[in-house]
Amino acid sequence: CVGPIRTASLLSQREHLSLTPEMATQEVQPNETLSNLKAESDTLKTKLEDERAKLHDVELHQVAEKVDGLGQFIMKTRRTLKGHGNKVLCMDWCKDKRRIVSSSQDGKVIVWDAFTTNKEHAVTMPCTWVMACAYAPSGCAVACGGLDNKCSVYPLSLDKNENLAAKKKSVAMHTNYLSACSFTNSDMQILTSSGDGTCALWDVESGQLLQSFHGHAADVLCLDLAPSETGNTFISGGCDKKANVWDMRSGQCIQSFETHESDINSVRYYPSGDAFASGSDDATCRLYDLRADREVAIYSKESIIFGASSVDFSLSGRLLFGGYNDYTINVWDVLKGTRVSILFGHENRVSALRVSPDGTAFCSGSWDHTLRVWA
Amino acid sequence: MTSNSNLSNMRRLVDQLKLEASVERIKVSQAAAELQQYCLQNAAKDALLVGVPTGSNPFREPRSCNLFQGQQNIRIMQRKTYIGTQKND
Repeated sequence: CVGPIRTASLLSQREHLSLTPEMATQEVQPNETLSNLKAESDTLKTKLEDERAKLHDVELHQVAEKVDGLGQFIMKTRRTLKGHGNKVLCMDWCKDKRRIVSSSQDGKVIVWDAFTTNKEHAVTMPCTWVMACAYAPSGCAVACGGLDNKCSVYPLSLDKNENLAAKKKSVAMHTNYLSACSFTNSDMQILTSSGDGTCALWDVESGQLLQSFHGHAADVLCLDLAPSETGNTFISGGCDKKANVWDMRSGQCIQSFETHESDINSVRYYPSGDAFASGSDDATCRLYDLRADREVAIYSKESIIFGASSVDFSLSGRLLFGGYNDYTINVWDVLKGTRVSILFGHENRVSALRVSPDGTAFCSGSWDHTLRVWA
Repeated sequence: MTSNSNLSNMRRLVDQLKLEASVERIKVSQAAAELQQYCLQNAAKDALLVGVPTGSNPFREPRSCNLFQGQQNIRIMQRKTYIGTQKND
């Protein structure tokens, strides 16, 4: 885990293991010495790999050989949203398919109308590096947070003159920076991930912690909720190179994938909910199938050596868009594993990327202070 | 204290691995076929993949208050007026 923000959290890594729920001392069983348990965990890890390998009868791109290749793509910047005074760190679409919320290093959170490029609301947070922002499903509020270790909800007022900061509600409290946040199916609950190594589910109204998710051994950098049809799970990715799948009700980690070679900056569910993609500092994006319980594709090229910061699928799941630290956006054919397009335009790292709710466009945010809408 | 917490952490890790090892899995061939099927079934609705009829992608439309568009319109009107006057001769 590198970078100015994350070095501070390295100190907190060791605390992850001791800050977990059941710290009550248990009776030591005769066979349960540390070395026995270590041996058992090694055996189980090998068994897990073997079980996964048994079902690895073919590669995804082999199955997809008979599918038609994709033609030329003409995707251009259709809108440029200018107004942030510093690096854009995060963005999210409103369900109305036209509004966007974005947050930046200088503490500003802006709500835009992407059709007209007008700014509709602006809030100045009391902290810098607002790394996370999210639009509420109703479109009536936004959530954001970052170095303040909190996630706060701002109701959006129709009155442009109203001071949004006055109605701010602090919902989540972590012991390190907030890296990502997302409303669940309603405005009532928020899911957060943090540099403190945990994810948490909060009730917005009371600020109460409903469930916490422990299992990452380092900062959690990203999360994504399963599409509503597939049930109560979500995925997270972290500096421990792991992508975890969680049961929201029990707090249990139900599946874990560790094939990346560096921090996982972004995770996103495939539209059907049966798979997810990840983007990492190891310059690759990968696809994991949840029912086969393994990685099924790697999207990489020798010429791509900078980390992928943000990934998202097109509506059908056929295209994977990846924003990279070399200022470009690579578009991948998910089934065949090949790159179909490379998009230039940003003048610094692409830090955020989301496809619009109806799939007609996607938006990218960058350290060059701008957001671009592509179609 | 440290050895106790290491022990309970190890125990937790073993329990977690047992849980993960017991997950029901399907073959990659079947999983891949289903991913592919989803893609193909939904391809027609995917605007970024296939494009949409001109006029139905709001982002591909020029914006209404486009100065360049306005100037073009003026030139078109001027041309039409000129042709109109010629015809009337």
